[in-house]
Amino acid sequence: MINKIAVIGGSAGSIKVVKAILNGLSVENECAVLICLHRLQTDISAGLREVLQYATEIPVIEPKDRQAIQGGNIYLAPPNVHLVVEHDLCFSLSSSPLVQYSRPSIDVLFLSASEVFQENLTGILVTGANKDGAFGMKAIKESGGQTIVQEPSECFIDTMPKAAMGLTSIDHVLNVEAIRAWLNKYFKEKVILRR
Amino acid sequence: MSYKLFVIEDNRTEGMLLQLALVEIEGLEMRTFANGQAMLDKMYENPTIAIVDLILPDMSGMELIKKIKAQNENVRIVVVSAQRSIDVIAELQAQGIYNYLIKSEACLSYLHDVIADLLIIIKYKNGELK
Repeated sequence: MINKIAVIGGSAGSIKVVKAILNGLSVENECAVLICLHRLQTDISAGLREVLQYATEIPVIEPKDRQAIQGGNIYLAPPNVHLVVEHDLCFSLSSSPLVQYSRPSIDVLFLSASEVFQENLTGILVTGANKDGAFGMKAIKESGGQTIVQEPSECFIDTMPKAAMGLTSIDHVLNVEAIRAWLNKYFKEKVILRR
Repeated sequence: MSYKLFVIEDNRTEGMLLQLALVEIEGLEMRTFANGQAMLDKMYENPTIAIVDLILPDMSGMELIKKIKAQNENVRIVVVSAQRSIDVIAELQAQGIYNYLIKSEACLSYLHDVIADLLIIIKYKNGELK
């Protein structure tokens, strides 16, 4: 049974940041990480998954349509589709139009996940050059979840975290190392409580 | 002042995309309906804008547009459809629709701009903007 989910969104400069978060991250069996990073529309290769997999021993999966979310995994939005979390704890993939000039859209993943996981969700927004994800962070906060942005001074481009900070209250503003430490504690705390 | 936008959408993902496309437009209150009749039943709420697809679960978009206009000819109707036929678009224009958007990769961005511009015009006419 999944009881803790973290969603991570990023754009310009975010691959390096997300690799650093994953390197040393422990994802318990009751937890999962869902990642949406902007990619070039023409990037239909599976290269990003391999790059992230290189940083962690936890399986990094590009889910197929209707694939069930299983604990202990890291899921990456595939290229050129929106990744949507459904109420039956499956993913759906949508080829619907671009949102914030992006597909996959961080807002779509965050908003759909907030409706399903509510207070059991943490949203993390890192470096990026547009405001995709800001409304998703607001939805997570309003659903009782927690919100984290990368420390703007550390970002390659800080537009994305600052857009979220301008739209909703952010629980933690952290550098990359602190985001990973926070997540490790967050995932472990829940398991200890359940035991 | 708040302006109501009515839209028919029975798909959760498509509804979220519409919400995300229009959420930052100030003064817009979006109401989503599962089918054309459900929208018609609420026309007494005097929506300012209606977004209509030409293919609906319970009636054709053209039929819905005629019924909306019969009840309230002031509703600005924006059609979003994959239909590219000039004859169809000409018939829609004859019905007095405000705008027609062809479904495409960027259509949500266009829709945002069309609705935002329309609200500016309406607010100006209502004396809210100078």
